[in-house]
Amino acid sequence: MRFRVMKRERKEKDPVPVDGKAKLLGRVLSALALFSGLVGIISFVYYWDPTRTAIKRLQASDPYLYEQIDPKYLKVDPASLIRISSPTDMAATRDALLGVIWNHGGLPLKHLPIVVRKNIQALSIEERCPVSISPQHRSLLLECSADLFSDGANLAGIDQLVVEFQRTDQSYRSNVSFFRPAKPNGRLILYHHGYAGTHLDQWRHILRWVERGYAVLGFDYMGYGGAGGGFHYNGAEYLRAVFYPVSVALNYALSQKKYDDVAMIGLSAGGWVTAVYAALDPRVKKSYPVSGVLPVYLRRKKERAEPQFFAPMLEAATYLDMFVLATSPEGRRQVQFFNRFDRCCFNNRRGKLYEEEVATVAHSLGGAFQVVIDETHARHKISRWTFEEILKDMELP
Amino acid sequence: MSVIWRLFAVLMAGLPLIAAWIWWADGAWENGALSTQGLVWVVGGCVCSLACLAVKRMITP
Repeated sequence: MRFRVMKRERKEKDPVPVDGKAKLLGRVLSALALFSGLVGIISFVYYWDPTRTAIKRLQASDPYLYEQIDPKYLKVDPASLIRISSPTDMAATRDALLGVIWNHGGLPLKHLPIVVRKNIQALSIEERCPVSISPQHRSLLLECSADLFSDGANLAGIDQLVVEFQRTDQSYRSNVSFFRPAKPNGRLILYHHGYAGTHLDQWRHILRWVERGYAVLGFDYMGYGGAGGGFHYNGAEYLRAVFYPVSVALNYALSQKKYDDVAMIGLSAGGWVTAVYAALDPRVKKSYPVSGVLPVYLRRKKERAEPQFFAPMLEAATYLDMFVLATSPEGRRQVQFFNRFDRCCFNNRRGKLYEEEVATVAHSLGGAFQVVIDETHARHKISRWTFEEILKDMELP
Repeated sequence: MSVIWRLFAVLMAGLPLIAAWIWWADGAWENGALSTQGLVWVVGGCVCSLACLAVKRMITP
């Protein structure tokens, strides 16, 4: 009350004159306030997942983008693309795939990283992040961004594994992050990121896994973040370079500690790496590709990255064969996730078109296969919903 | 300042807080239900709007 009285007195003693110019300026400012406010409100509606999903569905020019299944996909019988029907077929197909990619040398099960930087987060920023690294690259590298994980519950330390892939004319280095929990639950997650980003973008997911006791190996796709300086696609050698860091980092983790269970999760191109790598390496018990892989006949224009169409690889095993391979021998399983309204790619419910056929063969060989559609958002990401679904599945025996 | 403008100002002050909460609580960066880019636009728009209202109030009380 006292304040109101004082305010009235001040107004009476010192009135501000309102002339024509001030009135005009006031109107301009009102218009600007209204305009900026509308920008704020519209941005909220446009960017928030529930409203954004509704907008994207309304905006879609093609009914086959999110809503309906293109009839041309229904003409293909997925069962005709699965050539595996017995354990003998399975072993032969895996050998053929390994032969094409690894040039009949098999997985490099004895190779280890050339350098292991233990507890990189314990070093000062000056020690681990050279000043020569440009500001725009700092957020892409663990050595400069380890502080993101400084408040992580249950995080004992982060090691950086330097993996070097030798080829005749040059070598390719990939830095892999190894997040070690203080109280481990005996399980290991391999997380592989895709194009246009790094595994550090998923720092919150990684922290949640570590909090629950999982050890996590974080990989970047060739040419991004810690896997910078890759080389152009040249067939099998390129594929070997993509899969080599996964195999070597897994060798290292298993040499340090016995794990009851190894799961692999990948987003986008990392989802493709996950699907193919799980087919190659039975040490990966559970695999979860997210918005990253579909059989050739179901792919749209934006989903045709050249390495994923390497002809000798697809002659050795179709993608549906690879999905079956990822679920066998007995006790292994794969759950594929797709964002139905994904603004980028691998959207709609195309994955459901082959789920039953792959699951039937996987089941007959003692494994399990499932396709899950996330309808909670319209982005190209591992949503909180998908994260929780993966976690529930990983925690199954 | 009319009641409508006051309600508008409350909305402009509250919306960035709601947006920031969604951005932070559901996972920042690319995982969250509101992207970083979205948060910047929401906060930017609302702060500009509040600034305009404040200046208007100063010159035309």
